[in-house]
Amino acid sequence: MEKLIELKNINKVFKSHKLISVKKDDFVAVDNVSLDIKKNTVFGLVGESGCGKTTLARSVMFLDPPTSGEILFDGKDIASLSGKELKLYRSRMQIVFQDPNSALNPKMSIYRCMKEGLVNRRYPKDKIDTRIKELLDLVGISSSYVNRYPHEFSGGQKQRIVIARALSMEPEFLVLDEPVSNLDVSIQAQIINLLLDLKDEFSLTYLFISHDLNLVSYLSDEVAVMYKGQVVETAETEKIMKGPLHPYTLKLFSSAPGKNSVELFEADESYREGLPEGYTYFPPEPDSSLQLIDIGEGHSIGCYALNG
Amino acid sequence: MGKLTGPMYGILRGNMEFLLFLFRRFLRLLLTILIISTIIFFVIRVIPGDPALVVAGIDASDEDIQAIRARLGTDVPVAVQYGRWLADIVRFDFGESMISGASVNKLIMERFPLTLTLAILGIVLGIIVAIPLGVLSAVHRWSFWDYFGMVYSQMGMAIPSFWLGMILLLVFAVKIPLFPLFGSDSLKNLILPAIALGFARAAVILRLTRAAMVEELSKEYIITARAKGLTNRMIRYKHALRNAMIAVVTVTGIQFGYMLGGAIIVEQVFSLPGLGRLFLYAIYQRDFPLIQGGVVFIAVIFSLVNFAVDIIYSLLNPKIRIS
Amino acid sequence: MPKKRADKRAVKRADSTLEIRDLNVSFIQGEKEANALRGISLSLKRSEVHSLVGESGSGKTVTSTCVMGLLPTPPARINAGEIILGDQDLLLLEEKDRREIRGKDIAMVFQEPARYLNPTLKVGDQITEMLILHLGMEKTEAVERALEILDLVGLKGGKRILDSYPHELSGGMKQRIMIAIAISCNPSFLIADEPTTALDVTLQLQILNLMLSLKNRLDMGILFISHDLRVVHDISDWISVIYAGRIVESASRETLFADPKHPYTKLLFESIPDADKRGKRLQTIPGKVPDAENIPGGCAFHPRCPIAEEICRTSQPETKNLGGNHTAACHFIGKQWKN
Repeated sequence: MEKLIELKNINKVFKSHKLISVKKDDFVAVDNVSLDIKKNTVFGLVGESGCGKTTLARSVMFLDPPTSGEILFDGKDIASLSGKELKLYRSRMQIVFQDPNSALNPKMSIYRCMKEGLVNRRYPKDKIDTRIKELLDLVGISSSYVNRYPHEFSGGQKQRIVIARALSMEPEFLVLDEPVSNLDVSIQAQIINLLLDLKDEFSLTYLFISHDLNLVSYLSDEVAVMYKGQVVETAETEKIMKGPLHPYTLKLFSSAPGKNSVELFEADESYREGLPEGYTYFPPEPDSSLQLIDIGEGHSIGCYALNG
Repeated sequence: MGKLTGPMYGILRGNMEFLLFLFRRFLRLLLTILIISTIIFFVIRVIPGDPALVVAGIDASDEDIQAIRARLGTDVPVAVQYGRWLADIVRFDFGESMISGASVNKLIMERFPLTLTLAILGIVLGIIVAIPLGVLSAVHRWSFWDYFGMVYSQMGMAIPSFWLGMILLLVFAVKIPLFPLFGSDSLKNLILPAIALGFARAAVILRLTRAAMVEELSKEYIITARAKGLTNRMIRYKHALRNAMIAVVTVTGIQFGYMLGGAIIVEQVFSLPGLGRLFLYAIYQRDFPLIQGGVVFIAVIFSLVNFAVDIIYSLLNPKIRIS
Repeated sequence: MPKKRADKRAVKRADSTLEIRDLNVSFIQGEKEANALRGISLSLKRSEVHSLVGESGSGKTVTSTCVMGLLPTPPARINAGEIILGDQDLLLLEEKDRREIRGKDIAMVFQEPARYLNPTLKVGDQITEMLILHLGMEKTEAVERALEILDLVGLKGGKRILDSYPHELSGGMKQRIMIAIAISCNPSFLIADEPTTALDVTLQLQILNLMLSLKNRLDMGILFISHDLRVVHDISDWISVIYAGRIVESASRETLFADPKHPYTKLLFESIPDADKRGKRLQTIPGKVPDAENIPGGCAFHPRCPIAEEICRTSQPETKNLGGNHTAACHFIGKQWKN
């Protein structure tokens, strides 16, 4: 399958700014991450808070350009684009955040909020109103509500509006950063179904970020597990669900609620499931660097080479 | 596991950070003083007219004026004057008054104790009134005390201190002679001026105390305190007040700073020979060295008060020590 | 005085159940009345985890605050009901007696430890103040006891932890402190309101395990409030599902997950995404939870229910016992439907 997004050795380092500070170390939020996202698939990114998944997403979107590394969108290096081209590329990728409240301006009616984006990309003026109706229709919001304000909608409806606004840019790629985490169970399912329908209808590609393993394993085609800024395991979803290998993946999977076992997996130093000869899951030296090794059929695990 | 982790690390780093924090604040204090003295220096140079002419008077000869310029140090280029000015400040030497010839430092130090006493009395009176009343207003909202507090703070902000001072003198020194009308040698002389000075400040502190207390009482940790079955008294005074004080201390400190620099009118009404009066006359008489020295002195005092507030603030708020 | 204070510790009632009967609570705002709880009944036994699951706005937090006696009245108004602990109805007690029970007999753990701990008080003081107040301990004795409790909740570091401020601890540690505070007086019952929602999954599991082990060790009944069916599945003995201020179904964990009877419960289970449902559309429940001001007449769930008929619009279904205390409130229990 064709790749839409290729991330090559992405690093994002936050420098410590203070002139006088004890914390001299720079903070490495994303550490040498390489991933490919195929067209019209859902790529799930799981990890706990602070693991760098949101930072990575912001880097991909060029909201916070990475410190180093390449981002290829449809084969083109985003960093090489001029301002005007970058703007064009940016509209081809959109992001939906966890909290729709902070994404919608409370003082703007839904109509104005939708119109803003369309005007920005010079959509024909006479067609804007019909387009807004179409988009709201698509996400299941009655177009008779266009003059209402965000606070008049429920959480789920607001998230639908945010999705409609993202769609108004006619993107090919959507980053979905915990888009249903704030919603009730029964509403979550509605939004997830909607996202999957839209994906099929418009051949969209998703980067789906979540801490919810069950959710990610339900809807994504491929999964990457992030831990402390690094990808420690990535594979097709079914493969990783059936046979997780990396100790952190196992720990994460064992902690997902809803199973009868309530034991947290903790690997000891002797654990080396799935490792090729000459590698280990535990850093032999404090500064050893993690490598992502392909162990076959696109299943990669993060490990360290013994002997340098 | 040799690395420091968890609370151990937090505490160690906390103390280190606290020292650094103090150091940073101290640097900021020096910077503030430098900026203020620079502004003063240039503002005074920009004012039209040559101070030497003012001192010499209209009949002075050219030689006299030259001599005065030499004495004032205005006969050299501005850059040199600025350098000398900074050097003087570092040594805390503001020269001599053009009028009396006494050293500016001596003049200030003679007057400062009175103003300081007055300000301390004022702020203490203010705190005694404002904080309990503010807490009472917040805890018993829409009660008698809350309305009383509201009326008080309205009045405190509306009534000018000179008017209040005169009324106080009229009532408590003239009609009912509880306090002396003049003089500055005993504490008794300072009570009425302190009330006049503290009245408006108390209004500000009161409003802030109430607001801070109301806010703290609505926070989640208060729910925890209630769920623990604590008494109302413990919830209010052990939990809420402690947190509310963080904001109150800051504002009280700033109010105290104002009092030190802004007692001019009250000192005038009560004929107290404090700093305010000294500076007022210095301005009347275009006594430039004294004005310069006075402004820098007040700036230093103000910065020191702020510095102290920062320290108290960080002691009350354990978070600031790390962040 | 010390003698009298020490006595407080001796009179520790051995209450075996906490029972909520027919609790009906409204919130009054001007002319508007929001009927938040419309007859909630549930009973909680010691050494049992009884979970109350529901979506936001269903009334689960109102229930827990009401049991704790922390509902501000007004705006809240308790229209009817009893909360029975031992032989007394808590709703009839004076505030002073109620306070004695809070923290000592019934304690509570909240969702976000970072906000529910006092930021300017050392965690040691936050634990010992209860021991001093409720159990009449001296300060030194209270510190000793606090150290034991830290051990119980799995916090190593002893005195150093007692001397730290909440912000110096990690999220998981803070939640352990919250739990330490809650269990400090050895309460018979613990109310846990979404205690792991703000935590990462690995921490969540640790906290759930901790609560389960404490429950057994201290012979404590836990009322576990949650929106997350999967978490509830892992921790509960008994589960009640709440919808629009009423319990629509209540059963043991095994029964409820194996054989849910109420259409709302069934739909909830089917709407949860997991790997087994890959490639299939998720079941959804149309519409949203009604707000307490506009609860539909009859069965409150009827506008969203796939099997609703005329009677559901007009009459509120009785809560029926389906055997083994499995109860459900629906006119058409067991009726199937096609998606």
